[in-house]
Amino acid sequence: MNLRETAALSIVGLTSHKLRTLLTMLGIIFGVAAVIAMLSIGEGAKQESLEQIRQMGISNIIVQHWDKSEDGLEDAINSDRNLSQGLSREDAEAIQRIFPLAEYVTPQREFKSKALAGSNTFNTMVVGTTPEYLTVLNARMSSGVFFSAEDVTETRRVCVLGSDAKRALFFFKDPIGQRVKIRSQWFTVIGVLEDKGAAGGKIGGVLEVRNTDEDIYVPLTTVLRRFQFANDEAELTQITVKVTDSESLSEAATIVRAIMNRRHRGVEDFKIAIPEELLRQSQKTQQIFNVVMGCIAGISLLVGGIGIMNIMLASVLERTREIGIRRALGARRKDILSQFLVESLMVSLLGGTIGVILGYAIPEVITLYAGWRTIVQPWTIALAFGVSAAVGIGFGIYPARQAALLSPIDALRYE
Amino acid sequence: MNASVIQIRDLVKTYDMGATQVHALRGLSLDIDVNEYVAIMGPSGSGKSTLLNILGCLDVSSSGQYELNGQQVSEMDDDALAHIRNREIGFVFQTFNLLPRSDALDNVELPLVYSSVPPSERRDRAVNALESVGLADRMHHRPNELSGGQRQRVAIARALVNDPAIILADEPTGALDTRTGKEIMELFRQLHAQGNTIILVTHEEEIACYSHRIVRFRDGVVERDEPVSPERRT
Repeated sequence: MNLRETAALSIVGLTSHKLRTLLTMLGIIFGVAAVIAMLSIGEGAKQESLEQIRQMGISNIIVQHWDKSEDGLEDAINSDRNLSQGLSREDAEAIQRIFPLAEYVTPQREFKSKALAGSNTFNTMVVGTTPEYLTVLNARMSSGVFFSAEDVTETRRVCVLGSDAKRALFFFKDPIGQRVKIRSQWFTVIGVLEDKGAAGGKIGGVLEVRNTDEDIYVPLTTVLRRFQFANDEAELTQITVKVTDSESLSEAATIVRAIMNRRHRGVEDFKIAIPEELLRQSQKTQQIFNVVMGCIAGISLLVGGIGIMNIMLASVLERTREIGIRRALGARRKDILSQFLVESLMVSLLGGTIGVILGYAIPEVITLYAGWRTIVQPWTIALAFGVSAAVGIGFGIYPARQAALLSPIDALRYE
Repeated sequence: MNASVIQIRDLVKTYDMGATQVHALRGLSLDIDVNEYVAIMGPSGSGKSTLLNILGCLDVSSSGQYELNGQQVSEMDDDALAHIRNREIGFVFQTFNLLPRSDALDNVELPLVYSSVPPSERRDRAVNALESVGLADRMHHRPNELSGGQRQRVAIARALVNDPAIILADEPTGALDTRTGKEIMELFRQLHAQGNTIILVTHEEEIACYSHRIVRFRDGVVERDEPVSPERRT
């Protein structure tokens, strides 16, 4: 009896108990689907945070204003205020002056606002900064120019649009030379940035990353002069330091922290984040996530395998007479062994196939409804298939051996 | 003088039933020649079915010698026994033992499946075997669509399909009514006439009288071994 015939025989066996076969396969189906779905969600999340971090600049140190009221520390604010004015342009200048590894130091003042162009409005983040920010952001112009040092010193009312902001305000029209109104102030558009294509989010639970494609950039001096802010607000919301030597980022961060601590008299009204460190952190978290999810999915595969073994043992009992008849007519032990082994292998491979299809579909549905990015990697499919085959053989071998070891006469007499 | 096809010497079979031991065969010796037609009789528990199962290589003896066509069966391993069951022996059971989900043709093909006969040749041989037992028009019926007599014919066709030297039948008419039983015995008579060696176990004197030699067992040994005179034969 060759393999093709054995396979045909087991298909007959499986199709004669369709419901049972399906129920047996369920464990494998869900196990395999879980492995693929989990890993693709993990991979998607990894890519997402990688992109966010890259967007912040891999050789940057970010000093952010720490708004303690957001963290429910109102009491601390007043006492802090007496000692420190929060982030300021002087801080940025001091870092630039004292710290030799700082290639660029860009002060930023950011605030949320509505922007208008014609009849279109768009909720945006207005970023007041200096020309170096373009380099620090790793951004490129898609049209026009970024504002110059002169625009800053002259406090000109010019602005550069992020790609999403441009699309929302001007659709497909050329916005260069058009005017945009922000809080009753008019700005002339002089440039548009290229699409960076990253969604917002929070990395490592520390640093907020927003979609910078929705930002509008204006000279820092213009922001500080033209807009009214509450008195107790700090001058800057963020200082980004681009370091020449990206090998020594954490040492650089220590120095920046020391400078800031002295200038703020020890008041912790800022946070320092290193995107590269966050990247490493998030990779570590990702690994743990993958291991945990892999284990859970692995357990469901194990349970699926035990399900197969259970049914195969029952099937061997139920078909003891058939085994006896086959043995009486000349089937060798290995014929019976391969008959049952191929059957359990078929169950697990068929279940594996359905599981792969489901494993493809589940991430798609998640992307569609939850908006998470998911990436199905080919190797996970190979893995899932390999594991289900191994489960089929591993858990099929014991029942198949039980069947093969029956003596012909005992099997025939079995009632 | 015909050559012996089966030679049994001092065959012992003991079943271990936990605390007690059941002696089914106690040093039994028997010779059967080519083209003999032998009926084995005896009360239940006399060891007649045990002997048939050992002859058919479905069971192995505890001690003693069993020589089949000059081969020492008692020293064979499992694969070799499977080969003997497949090629040298056709077994007919009281309860037919057909695969319920396969049709008559597939059931008859089964021994050929395990002897690496190519599929097309299998089909031809199975068809021939079914025709020879008069079931040409029932080939695609499943066992539950056949009468008891027809089922036993399928089982006989299956026993014949690999041209075995010996046909063993364990109460082949036990599950059939008298008329159908007679038809089946007619079939055995034809098979014997065609040169087959037939050994059947029965407890009905009437059925035994179809044979040419009756061996009576009692308590695991041969009690009487006598030919059936032509005038007694059915």
